[in-house]
Amino acid sequence: MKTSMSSIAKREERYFYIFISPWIIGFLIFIAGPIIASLYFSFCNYDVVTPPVWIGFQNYKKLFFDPLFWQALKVTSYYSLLSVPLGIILSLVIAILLNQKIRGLVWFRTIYYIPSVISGVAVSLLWMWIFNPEFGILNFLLWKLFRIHGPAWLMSEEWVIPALIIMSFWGIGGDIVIYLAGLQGIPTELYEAAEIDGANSWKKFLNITIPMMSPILLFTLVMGIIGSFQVFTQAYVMTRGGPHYASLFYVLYIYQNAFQFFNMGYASALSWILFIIILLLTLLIFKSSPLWVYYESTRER
Amino acid sequence: MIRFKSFLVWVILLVSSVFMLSPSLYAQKATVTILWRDDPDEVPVLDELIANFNKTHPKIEVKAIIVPYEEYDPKLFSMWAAGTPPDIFWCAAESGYVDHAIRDMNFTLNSFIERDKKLIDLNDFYPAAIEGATFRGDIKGLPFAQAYTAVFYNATLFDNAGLKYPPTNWIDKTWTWNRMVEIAKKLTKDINGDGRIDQYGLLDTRDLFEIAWAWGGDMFEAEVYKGYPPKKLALDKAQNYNALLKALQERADLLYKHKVSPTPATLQVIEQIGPPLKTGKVGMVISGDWSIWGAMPKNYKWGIAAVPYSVPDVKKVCLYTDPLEIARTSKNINEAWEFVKYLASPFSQKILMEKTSRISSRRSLRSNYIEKISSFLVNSKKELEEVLSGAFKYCQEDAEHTVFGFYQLQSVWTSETDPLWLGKKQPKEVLDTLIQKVNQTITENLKKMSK
Repeated sequence: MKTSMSSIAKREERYFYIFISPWIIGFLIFIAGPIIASLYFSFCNYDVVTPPVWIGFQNYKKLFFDPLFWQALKVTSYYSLLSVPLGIILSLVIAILLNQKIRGLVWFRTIYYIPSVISGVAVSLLWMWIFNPEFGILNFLLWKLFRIHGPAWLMSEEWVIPALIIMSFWGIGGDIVIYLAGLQGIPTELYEAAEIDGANSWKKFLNITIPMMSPILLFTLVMGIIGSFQVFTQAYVMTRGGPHYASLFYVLYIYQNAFQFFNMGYASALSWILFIIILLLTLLIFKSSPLWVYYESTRER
Repeated sequence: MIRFKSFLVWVILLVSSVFMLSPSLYAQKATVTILWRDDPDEVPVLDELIANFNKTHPKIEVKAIIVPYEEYDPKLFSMWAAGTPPDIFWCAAESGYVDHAIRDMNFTLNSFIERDKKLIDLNDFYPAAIEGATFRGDIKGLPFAQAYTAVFYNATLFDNAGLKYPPTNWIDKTWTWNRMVEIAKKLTKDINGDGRIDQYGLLDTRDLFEIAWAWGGDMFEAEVYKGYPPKKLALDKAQNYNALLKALQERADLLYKHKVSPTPATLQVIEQIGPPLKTGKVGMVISGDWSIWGAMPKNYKWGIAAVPYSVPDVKKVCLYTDPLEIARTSKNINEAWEFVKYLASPFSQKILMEKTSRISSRRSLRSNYIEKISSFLVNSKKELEEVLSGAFKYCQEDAEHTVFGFYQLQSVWTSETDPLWLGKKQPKEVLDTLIQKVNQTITENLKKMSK
């Protein structure tokens, strides 16, 4: 009996590998392979056409003396530092508003989500019009409503990143849906108990909503940071990294090196540095999470 | 179970034998691939020419691989890396034939051209076009089309301002930059009186190396255009430096002193409406002939003119040649050559010229081109002949095609000149930083090549 069981187990194991093999093969060929190759290329001089030449750590050394590497890092960090927290706050506020019991809520939810399903290039072209310094609706409104002469937005070294941050709020619909789901999962008895204790709306928000939402906030924070370090489409379509490198996002710089200048080795080194940066940031957030993320199941600790 | 296994083995053998046999079934036909950019005007004509070629060449099958413009170079390079390069390609995107030649990607066509010289008739091509496809003395591509530089103008705006059309004679000494700026001032207007300019006199789209030429200088040493990688910019020579400095000043003056050219922000708006000239918002454009590609709006009259003298006795504009190259590692070099010959032949170039807006690289077809464009231009055929003969005489091949690593250098100087066009910095400051940055990139590229 025992042997037949183990033969069944063996057979199941074999089936397991057979059924999962398309994924494993795909992963090895299309994901793991290129990752390992890019690590190798990052130590090489490689222009795609001629065979790679091993140059040791030179690409990594060059990186530290490359002003554009630092510029790309600066631009990306600036964008990330502002767009991620602002995006989280804004989407949380809208999610809370959408969680109220008012009429026509379904419509509002749909409206806020619609922008998230439009492709990046289309959105970029649309916003190029909005930001146009002379004919764009944004500067038109600034003038009509506040009598302010709006900046040149995408044409200005100072305003191009703030402009792209404003544009990033266009895609918060995805986060709003996640927050809404989270908000609806908070037991109403918690609020009722707080009300009996005399808590006002702000206290309820601070002591119930925020802690109960913190695991979701953690998730959106991590995803937001990863996403913001990988901004590409907007910069590629709208600004090409300009004016004067003011919107040279890190991934755009990788793209330029890899597919326009064919410095594939250097681009690989840049990619690995980006990977390490994102990894460290994510680890930092996870390590800090016990301080601010509340899990109901572990509250005894 | 055993029966099932042997059946399985039998099936596998049968299927694989079919695969083994199939290449020999097709072996009669050599497949030639050609990599082309996804141009809505060019692709249908290419398809038509390929179909015609395949019909008349039963032993060759040409297949086009069409990719979007921005994916052209990545596709070409990655196909190369995979060991399956397209048999035929060209400078359709940012990398030039010199970039390909230095990487040993393109086949030298000298022997083929010598063998088929009667059929090809190299003398029928514009000399500058052949020179523009020559790498250190070797011909690396056979041109199938051209583009040329000239002044393209909106004749209706000239009429409205009561101005005479600009000259078509390239050596007209009175046709100077200053005169052009004066005309541009008269063409620049605030039509609706809202305090904002809505019609600009002049848009000069020439790149930095072109305006350096125009003002009597050069950004590169002469040998660089022949396929030798630049060692540094030639701007350490006073004449070159001063020429480019003057050119930058003049260009910036168009924007902020004379205010006859749109600023980058305004230009972006105009370009979103359409190609600047066609929008009717610009009086004159100095550019490649793509300013008059496609249908020209009927509500305006159009004309072309010679590029003026920026400094006395100096005249050099850009010529854009599209030479078809054959992959050095192609397995079907002879068959590929057959198709290159066919595409570069007067027959194909005539079809391409008639069905798209491209001008042929063959001199014998110039009259056909003039016939075609005279239908929508205000110029007489004699004037058009004058413009074109000058455009092909006072020209040099586009540095993007002839200077190794051009695209990277250009992206550096494009970024470095942004503050100048935005009115934030002075020409000298911009030029000095630009030289330093571009030279740095050149040094790094040389270092890489030496490894």
